[in-house]
Amino acid sequence: MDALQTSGVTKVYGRSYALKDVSLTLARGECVGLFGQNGAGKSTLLRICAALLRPSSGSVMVFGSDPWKHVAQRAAIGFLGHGVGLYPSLTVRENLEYFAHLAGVAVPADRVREIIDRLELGVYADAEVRCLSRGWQQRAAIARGLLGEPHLLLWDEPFSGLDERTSERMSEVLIQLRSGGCTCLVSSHDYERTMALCDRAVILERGRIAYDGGEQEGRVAYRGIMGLAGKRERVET
Amino acid sequence: MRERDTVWSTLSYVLFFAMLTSLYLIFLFAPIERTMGHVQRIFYFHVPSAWVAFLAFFMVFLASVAYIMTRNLRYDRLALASAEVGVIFCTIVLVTGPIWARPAWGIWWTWDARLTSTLVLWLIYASYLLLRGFVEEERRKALLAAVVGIVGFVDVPIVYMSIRWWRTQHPQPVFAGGEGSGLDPQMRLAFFFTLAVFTILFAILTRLSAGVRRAEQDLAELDRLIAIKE
Amino acid sequence: MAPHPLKQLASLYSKDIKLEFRSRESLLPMFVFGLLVLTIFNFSFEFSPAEMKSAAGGMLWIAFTFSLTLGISRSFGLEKEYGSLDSTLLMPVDRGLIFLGKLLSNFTFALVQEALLLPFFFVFFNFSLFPDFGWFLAVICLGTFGFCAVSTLFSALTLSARMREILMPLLVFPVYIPAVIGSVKAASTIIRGEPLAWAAMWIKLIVVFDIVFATLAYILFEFVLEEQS
Repeated sequence: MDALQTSGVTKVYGRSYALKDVSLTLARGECVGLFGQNGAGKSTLLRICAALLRPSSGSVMVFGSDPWKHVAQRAAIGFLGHGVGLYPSLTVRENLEYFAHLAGVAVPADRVREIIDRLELGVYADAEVRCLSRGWQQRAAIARGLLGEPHLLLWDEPFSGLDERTSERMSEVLIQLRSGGCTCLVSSHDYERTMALCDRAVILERGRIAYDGGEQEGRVAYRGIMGLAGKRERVET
Repeated sequence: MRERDTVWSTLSYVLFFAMLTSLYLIFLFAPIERTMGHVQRIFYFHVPSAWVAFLAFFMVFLASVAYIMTRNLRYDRLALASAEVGVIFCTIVLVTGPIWARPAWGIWWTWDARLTSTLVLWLIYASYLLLRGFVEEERRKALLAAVVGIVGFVDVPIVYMSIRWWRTQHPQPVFAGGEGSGLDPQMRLAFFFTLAVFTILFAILTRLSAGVRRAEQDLAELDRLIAIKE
Repeated sequence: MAPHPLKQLASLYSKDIKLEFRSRESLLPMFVFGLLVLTIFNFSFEFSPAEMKSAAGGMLWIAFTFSLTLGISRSFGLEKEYGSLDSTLLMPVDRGLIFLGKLLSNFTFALVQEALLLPFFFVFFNFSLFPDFGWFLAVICLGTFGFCAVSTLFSALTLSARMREILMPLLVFPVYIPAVIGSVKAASTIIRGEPLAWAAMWIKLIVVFDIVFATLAYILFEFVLEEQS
């Protein structure tokens, strides 16, 4: 049973395809980097995998079951999106406790303390989320995604907008999780940093899979695709 | 597909002649009503329009349920087409009502149960159409509209009952005999014939409108495919 | 270790309450707007005390529902900020529970706002406590509950629409008309001091409306959230 399987996923937005016939399989324990230009469909694919969006056609299976049909299956998914995904006027701890309750964690307060320690959030645990800097918000967001002890991590550009130190820390967390048996799909604009963590690269081009394979050939394909359209690479915000 | 198109175009021709016949029946064949005179002839348009509007809103409901169950855009097109046609006929009811009421009862508008319910229906389905205009993405639009289509229709009997109770506490406008009851046989023929004509008209209009939507969606799909090929 | 639905509901609800008490972004504007509506009514009509008794129920209801619309139309919008609604949707929570949590918190805010407005209503319109005041409050609760059920559904529904602040009342009010009729009739009957039996039919109507639409909204809510993100 694969950790994640999308078959023929297509998503239509107005007059264009956000995704066209994307079939992707992640075996258990695999760590895959997802690349592509802005608008290539990385975020859409991740949101569809996380069962936040329904595909226009095609299907997504997470550990062999449909997360739309089995709500409990969502506990297995740890999604990190572009947004912080927390309530700005609640503190980090309040946020985490709220989500821990929803995730059905046995002793929420303990679990939250553990996660806060693990991500070294202690200093800011009782600050309101809106007062934190981008880097700390990102940490808190990752903490939220780990509450339910997920087996499949879907991270959308976890390194964007972070300083070198925090990025390093994020990489460490990811390595830790991987060694714990997590399957990961990580989208990024930083090929080198991401591929240092992953064993397979998938490159999307205008909603379709343009490359799926190892790191070395992936680098060539990545450069080709990112440069081919002749467009300036925009800086991620 | 072809044969079906032939059936529909034949039906359109039939409808054309049926409409002419219906006009003959309404204006020349049916007798003049005793108390209201010629004005009463608006009844042959008013009541069938109301019937078509109700039928259309019922179709919106059925198509909305079907869309939620199957997620087939075909049902969404049907729901939209029915809602559009329904609102048009509902408007006809609301316009012909006062025109008839003025000479018959001496007032333009009366907050009578049927007229008021029709007005509420018009409001519900007008906002249904508005909602569709304010949502961009096709699937999302279809799903949200389906929810409104269901909620709106479930409301219909409750609206009708509540307004009827509300009215019974006030004097009723004097009806010149209940509609449908005690109709002259010639009047009855004209009425039921027109009713049938309106129903066919509804079916044809809905089909045409859904066809236009279908063409639009196909065109969008072509657009997308071309964009990929480029 | 399936999460317990009641515990989930409790945390959904208490989160909303906590958010509101931190920000006070909904209740305060709702209350002030309600007060404004009541004031404008006093300028718009010059009724004799007897006429006032007949019109008061309607005025009260307009003040309530208009100001509630303001608050409830934002109830999901607030959650969209920072993507926190997505995070809730990612959790293994039944969609119906998310609806119930929001319905209960909206209902709570509505009752608080109405409790704040009622004294002003009595003072502005020179009413003293009428008999059957308990029933009067019951009518308000029932009518408000139906309104909250419909508008909670539609506030989620219009989340991804343009012009949602305008669209939401456009969708809510036509559907809510039967309950408006019921609530205004029942409230006026009680204000005029007429026998309670006269209001019974209207109260039944509101109860039917509440049951039908709370159930329907609960069922349909799942589909509304599905395409939100």
